[in-house]
Amino acid sequence: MKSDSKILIVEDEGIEALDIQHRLTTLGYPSPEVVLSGEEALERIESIRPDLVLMDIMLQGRIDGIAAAEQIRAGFDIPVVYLTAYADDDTLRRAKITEPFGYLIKPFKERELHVTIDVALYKHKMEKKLRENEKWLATTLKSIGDAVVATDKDGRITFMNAIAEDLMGWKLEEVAGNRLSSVFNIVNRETRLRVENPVEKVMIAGAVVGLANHTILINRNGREIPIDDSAAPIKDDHDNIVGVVLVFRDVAERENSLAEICRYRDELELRVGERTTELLLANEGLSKYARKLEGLNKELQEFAFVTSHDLREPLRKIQTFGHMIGKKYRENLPPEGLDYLSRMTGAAKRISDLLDSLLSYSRIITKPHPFQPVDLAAVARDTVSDLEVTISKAGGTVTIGELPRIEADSVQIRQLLQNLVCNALKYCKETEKPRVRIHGRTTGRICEIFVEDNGIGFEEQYVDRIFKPFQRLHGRDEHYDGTGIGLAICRKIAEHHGGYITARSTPGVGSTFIVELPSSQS
Amino acid sequence: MKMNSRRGIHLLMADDDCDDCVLAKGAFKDAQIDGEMHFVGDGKELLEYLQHQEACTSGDDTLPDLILLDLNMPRKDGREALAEVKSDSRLKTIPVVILSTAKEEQDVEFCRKAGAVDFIEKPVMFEEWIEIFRLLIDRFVLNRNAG
Repeated sequence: MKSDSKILIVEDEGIEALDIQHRLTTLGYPSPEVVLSGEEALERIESIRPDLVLMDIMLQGRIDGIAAAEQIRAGFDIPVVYLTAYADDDTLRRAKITEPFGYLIKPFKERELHVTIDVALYKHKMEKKLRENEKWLATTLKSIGDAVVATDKDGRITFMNAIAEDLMGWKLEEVAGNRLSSVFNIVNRETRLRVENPVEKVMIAGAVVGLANHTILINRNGREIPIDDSAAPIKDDHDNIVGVVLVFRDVAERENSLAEICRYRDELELRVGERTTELLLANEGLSKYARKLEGLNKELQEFAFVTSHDLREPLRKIQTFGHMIGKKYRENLPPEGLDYLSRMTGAAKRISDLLDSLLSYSRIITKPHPFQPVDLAAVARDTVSDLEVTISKAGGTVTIGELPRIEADSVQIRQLLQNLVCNALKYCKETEKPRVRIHGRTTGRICEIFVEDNGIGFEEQYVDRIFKPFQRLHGRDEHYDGTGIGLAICRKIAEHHGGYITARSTPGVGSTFIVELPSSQS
Repeated sequence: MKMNSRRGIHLLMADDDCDDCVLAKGAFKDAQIDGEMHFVGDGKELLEYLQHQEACTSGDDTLPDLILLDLNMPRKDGREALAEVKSDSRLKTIPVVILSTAKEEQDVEFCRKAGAVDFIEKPVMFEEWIEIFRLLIDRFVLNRNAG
């Protein structure tokens, strides 16, 4: 075996030392060094760090071979092989404590020397590796957050890490060699019955086993810790079970947060449920209210309708008989009487007009027609044709621009356009012929209709007032007569279609009425 | 004009409104129509009158030449009466004109379908009443008989 290991020879007999040095050189060990005493050896080791020391037990000087080896073992990780010519029992006993890696009894053969050195070097290398492994394992076991307990095949504790010690309440040295079952008391949380020892289960199953849920460890101090664990067999090269390793952890925190999450969830569900119920109740209340309102509204509209209908009859009589008096008995009445009579029939006529307005206003809600596709351009043309006489009397012109098709109550739309055009013709300037333009467009799902005029206009601050029933911006005695229902009807029609009406105006310049309607009613 | 040569034109008006009956009577008179006008107060009376006239004699001459029918009346309203008249094989030939306070779209439609020949809103001016009588007689009695 080729070796580049550096060897230090500690031998106080010069000739022998030189002989060994020579033999080692022959065997291929590079430049083996010789020192003559223990003190010198320790010094030299410090500086050259040999791979192995051949140490004569019997050394002259203060430190003999065994003492020197003792110090080497304590201070350096270097294997020592003793050289001795003879050894009494006492010496051997002393030598043994220093855990030497071999003995060479003088005189020895070259081969003996070689084998002993190689075995010592190999053994040392293996031991070092083992120590490293152990260190690695110990560090690993110490560092992991779980408790680890190992037992032998009889279930006797051989190892516990710090966390295991902490959870179980026992130190390894207190329980090493004891059966795990004597210190690892686990019960079911609900039944309080003892749970089968996982180590025994592993022994029987020969495989990894886990603990059932809701297992509680009752430790040395009586503390109850909910745990979660698993146990695995430790097997040798021949698959024989030689022990068990048990890993477990404290799940109290997890269970607590789980319980808390569950509690929050339950609470949340409860609240959602409560809110939902509240909402449902509120909704139900609202729709009841809406239905009631709708009913009341309809009732009110019908009331207005029936009232105006029934009022017309006696009113007509006042007018008719008034006229008859005026006609038949004209000669019998003084001028004053005729004036009173004319005022009376005039007032009756006015009530009649108001009732007509009220009727058409309430008809929008009480007597609607079904929504259907409507060509606004065609409706506008019909409207203009209906109003031909009115338009020519006013000396005006009405032009029709682009107009879209929409879904609507065509009768109402016709009324809407008619009212807007009449309105535009009515409020014209004395100095200018009325010009009215109707046009519209569809943007997205909204249709806009514009009716523009060059009339007298109005202050925009009154825009809300003009769409209210019987609200007028002009006195009745002024040039502009009317009941003040036309634009209110327009608004009612727009609202009936789910739209609205507004207007822009500049006094003395003109007005634009804008009707926004949904393109479709679905 | 064989009938009015015998006994003149026979008008029947069904209306519960006394004022309107007074007006109608005056207008009939002022229109100087040769004939007579009878009045009943509601639809039930109208049917009874017609059935009685029908049973009395076998001739057409006792039945009215034109019926003026109001719509809103007690016991049996104009709509029911119209339907009954028009379902009677003998009576259905008599033209019926609706004379009502208001001209509601749905009423006009209903009456047209039920067989009324015209639907007139009661006028405000007395002169209009006279005009209406002249027009109706001309259109539904004289021309009809002539044709």
